[in-house]
Amino acid sequence: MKEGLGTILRNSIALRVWISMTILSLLLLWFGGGTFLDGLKLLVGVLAVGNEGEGSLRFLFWRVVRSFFIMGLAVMGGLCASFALSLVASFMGAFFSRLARALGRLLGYMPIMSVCLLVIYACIKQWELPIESMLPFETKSFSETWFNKLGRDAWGWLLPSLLLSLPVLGKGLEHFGENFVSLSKQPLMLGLKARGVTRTDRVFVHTFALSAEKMRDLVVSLPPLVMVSTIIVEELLRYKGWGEFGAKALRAGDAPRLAAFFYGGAFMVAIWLGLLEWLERRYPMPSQETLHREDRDSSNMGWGILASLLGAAGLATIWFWDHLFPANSGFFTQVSLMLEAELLHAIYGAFCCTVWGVILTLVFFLTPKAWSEALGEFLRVGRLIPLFLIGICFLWVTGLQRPLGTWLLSFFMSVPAGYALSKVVDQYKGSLRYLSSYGVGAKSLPLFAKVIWPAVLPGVVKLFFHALSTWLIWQCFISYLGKPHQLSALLESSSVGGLIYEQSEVIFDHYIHLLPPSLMITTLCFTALYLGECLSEACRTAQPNLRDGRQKPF
Amino acid sequence: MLKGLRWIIFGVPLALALLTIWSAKQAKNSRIARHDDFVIASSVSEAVTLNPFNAVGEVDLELRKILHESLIRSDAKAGLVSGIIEKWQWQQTSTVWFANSDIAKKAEAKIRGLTPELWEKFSLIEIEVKDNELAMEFGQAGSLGPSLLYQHIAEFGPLPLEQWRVEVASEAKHHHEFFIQNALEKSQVKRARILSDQEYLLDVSGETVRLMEELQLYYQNHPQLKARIRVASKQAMLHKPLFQALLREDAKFQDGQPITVEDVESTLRFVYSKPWLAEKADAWRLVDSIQKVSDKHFKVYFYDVYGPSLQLFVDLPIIPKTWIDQFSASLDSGVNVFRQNPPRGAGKAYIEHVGERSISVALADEKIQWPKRLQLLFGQNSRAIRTGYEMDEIDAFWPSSSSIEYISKEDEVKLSKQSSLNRLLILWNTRRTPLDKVDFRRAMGMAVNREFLIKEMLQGQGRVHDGIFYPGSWLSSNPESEAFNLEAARKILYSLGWVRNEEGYLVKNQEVLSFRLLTVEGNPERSKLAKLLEAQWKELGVKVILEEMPLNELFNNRLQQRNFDAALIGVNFETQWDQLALWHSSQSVRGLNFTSLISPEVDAKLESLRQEFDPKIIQNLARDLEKELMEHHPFLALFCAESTLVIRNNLKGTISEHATRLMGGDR
Repeated sequence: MKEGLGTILRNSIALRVWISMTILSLLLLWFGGGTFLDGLKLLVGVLAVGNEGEGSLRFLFWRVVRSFFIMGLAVMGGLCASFALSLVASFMGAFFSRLARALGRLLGYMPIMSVCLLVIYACIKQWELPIESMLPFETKSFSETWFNKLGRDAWGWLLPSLLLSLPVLGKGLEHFGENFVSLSKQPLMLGLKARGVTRTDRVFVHTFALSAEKMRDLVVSLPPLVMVSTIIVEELLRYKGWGEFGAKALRAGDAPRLAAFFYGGAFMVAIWLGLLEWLERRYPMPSQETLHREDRDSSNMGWGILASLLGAAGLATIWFWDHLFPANSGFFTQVSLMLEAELLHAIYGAFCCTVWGVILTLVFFLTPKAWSEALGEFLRVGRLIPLFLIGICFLWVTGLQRPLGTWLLSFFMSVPAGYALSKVVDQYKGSLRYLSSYGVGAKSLPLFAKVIWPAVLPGVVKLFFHALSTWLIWQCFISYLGKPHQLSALLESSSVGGLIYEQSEVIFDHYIHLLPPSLMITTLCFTALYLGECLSEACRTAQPNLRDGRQKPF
Repeated sequence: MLKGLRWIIFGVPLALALLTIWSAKQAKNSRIARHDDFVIASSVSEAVTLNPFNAVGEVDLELRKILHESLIRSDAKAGLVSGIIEKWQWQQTSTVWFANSDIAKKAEAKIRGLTPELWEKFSLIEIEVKDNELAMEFGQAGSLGPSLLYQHIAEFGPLPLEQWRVEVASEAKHHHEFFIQNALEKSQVKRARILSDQEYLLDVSGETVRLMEELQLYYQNHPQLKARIRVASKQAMLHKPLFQALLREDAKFQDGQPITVEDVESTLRFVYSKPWLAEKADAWRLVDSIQKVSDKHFKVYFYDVYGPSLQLFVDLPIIPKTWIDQFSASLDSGVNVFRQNPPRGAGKAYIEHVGERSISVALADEKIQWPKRLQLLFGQNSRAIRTGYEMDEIDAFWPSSSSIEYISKEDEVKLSKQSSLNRLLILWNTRRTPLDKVDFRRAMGMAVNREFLIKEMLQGQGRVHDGIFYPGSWLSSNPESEAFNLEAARKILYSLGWVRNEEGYLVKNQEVLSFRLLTVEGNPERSKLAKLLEAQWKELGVKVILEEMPLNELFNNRLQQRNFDAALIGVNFETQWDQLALWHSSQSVRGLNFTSLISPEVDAKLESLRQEFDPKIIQNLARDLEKELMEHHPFLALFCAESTLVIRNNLKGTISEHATRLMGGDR
């Protein structure tokens, strides 16, 4: 079977992503002062970068391999563990499933640098465990058995893997948590039960098959989070991998090194997606047509209230701490001021994202069929957009030497927001068909205003709060990685990420200072997500259910 | 296939968890097994030169202390103590010339006829007549003996000694030698000293008029040399101080080779041919010759009576002659052979291995049970250093300022503080009104809260030291710092007639009290400090006008021209006791005495210090000078940075006294 390049490009997301990221890395290099020849050298892997000598690819190759190994281990471990835990929770009942989901959210939105620093502190000070990678030198002479050495070496790469698996575990729990409960209530599953299929087979054969798409979505969406986490974890543990190289490049603001780093990342993502594509081809996913998907986030009101109370209590504690304990005043005031500023930025950013998202959705809705098809193509890579955004941010800051402000960030953020909202519209395709059958002209502004907009409003609300939490956590990452070479003019004065970076230098002196800002970011994200779901539910109840077509829209 | 998934889904996390537990246990076991070395880590990225004569950083300084022994060591408490040199003595030969040998012999007879008490009083050891020359050897250098003795032989009409300075365009040595070979009156030239390629000095006695005519004639025949001859000074005798020293019998390098006079001479010539010890260059220029008496005994002759000549031997490490012969040329070509092939020193340790960012130092003292080896790591990430310390991998390090408070609370830790050589101060122009009044300058100092400045500028890692000498050095009187006292400062100013106006400024004769404070531009830290000072003086009621300018302009146009009120500058603490160039009134108009301080008391002490050879008296004089100087408040010392070395005092139950001492913990 002969396939043209165009077909391959159209079918392979991995290849498209690799090409896009490579172009971005070349742009980074050229805007950072590199020549055309440097670009060619980068592509063939002989560009000398930093102090690492001739041939970027030679040393980057091993760094990429080391990183890819721990990332693979972390993703595999995290996904398996989250799947297993979600299953166990679903066996225990709906409450435990939702609890698992809530725990997942907490884990997924915990600033990874804080977790990493606290683990470092606990390992060294509490458990007396060495972290070999943090010392780039063999200091003291001693003799050990090969068994001992093997264990020591294994600990060297297991610890970063373990840390990297935490956000994956969180995302996995969030994804699978409630999914299994709703799956078990599906008519298909009930039918299987009635036909005498064993519980084991129902769970591991059918549930897994029915969750495959969700898992695919999750695996595709993981690279940005895992890769940023890798940069942070490797830097903190001084693990000699691709992420540590990138962290150094980023902090130095060195364009050639960043380009090489991004180029190395392109290979990693391409392999990641390539493997996924291969798996999909080898083991095709079962059809989802028979499944009635309930998109509502049911019974979240309790969690929403709980999360809101938690957020409010956290904020109140931070705000009033210094008034209650004036002896230690200063630190909490600083944290509360930072949180206030960051929350305002996040609200503003999320608002911009939502507006941009609605505009984009409207544009796509009203445009011809070809555009809709393009949108469909876009949706296939939409979850990887943050990766490109990181590249564009690097390009903007390092290559063009411009600060990263709120407006720019909101523009960048609008792309995934548009994607997310478009997906909501996509879910209402059925309703469009239904409306067409009534002879209403499809894709008109009044139709959008009267029918589609009320229908997507819950999605918009949810999007706003989702963007808010995403903004909060990514703002934290950016401001952490931006030190001391400031990535953002907006974040440079004081930011939670910056504060965590400063605290990382003195973690052994007062690790406790890490907790308030980190926990507050997590709590705020947690609260925003549940609040968004609750409000989204509230909006939804007033609307006709267009999905099954049993009710007339007018 | 999907059925097998259950094993993967549950098996992978379980296997990873078990593997993690096992590996963590193994890693913990390996951590407990480590011992032996004492590891010192530094985050300073500057290259460690290992050059003991030109230490550039703290690591270099610390290494010098353990790798090398000095000829004479300076000790904060005991003053100058013997190092490689076991004993040393200053002597002086003073020579006079007479009209003929008979008169010289008569003078000799007169001296020999003096009572033994007088010989002792003059510290006279021996006299010798050679033709018309009478040489007298004294047991002390720089004493009054020669002058007193001169009075006894004055009746024989000793010929005066003149010092001529000859300046030529080039090849001074060549022309001098050529002239001396052929000059008729060459016997009148008692000593010649080549200062540079364009300059030399002649000590002449006798028929100096004819010699001068001959010399002028010679240079008239060489107009291209543009020679300039002038009489620089006249004196009664030709003095030639002599330093003689005995090396310790057991003095040897770490490879077991004994330290000989050849090593000492080679080191002296090697070191002072380089620009490393510029502060001692004046003393080295006075060295006439070095003479070996035996393997362990040597003499150094000097051209002139200059007490600080002793500085040449103080805190000077000695390295083997063989190393100098082998590597001196490579060093000249720009290769740092100190790192590539470190010389063996005479200290307690020797270098075992030099890596790119590490140095392994083995301790030679067999009495020391632990540690047997020191490892120095530098240019390391500060977080990694701290982690290493927490993991017991690192035993000593320089923590960040914010961590010191926390670390000092730990039981097994000893802190060693070291002041930097550089400090910041404000020079007052003592000729400018109202800064010409000592009380006024004192009040200005009292109004500055220096502890606050240290907190603001150095996060508390600094100290106030009012003296001129390095704090804690053998020369320092360690003067007490004047405490911040705004009220007392106000009272002083009030007594001087300054009263506050409605705006809060001090006024006198309707003039607001103000002065200009100069500082260098392009240095944000200095600007910040200047603004803090401005704010503090404003609190007192003084209006300070800040002026920033390039460094060249500050020194050349303002300080040199004495065109300033006050200047904020950074200068090094003094480690040498000759301070004449900086504070003598003769330097107040054109020299380096920028403050234009004129004080006969200070001048007297400065002059005495130049003449004194006895370390005990030098120490007392230097301390007196410091106190006297501080009473005049010619400058306001602000602060100097302090680095703190954290040393693990008790590693796994073993008190590492040796390591602590080796690392300067007792400083």
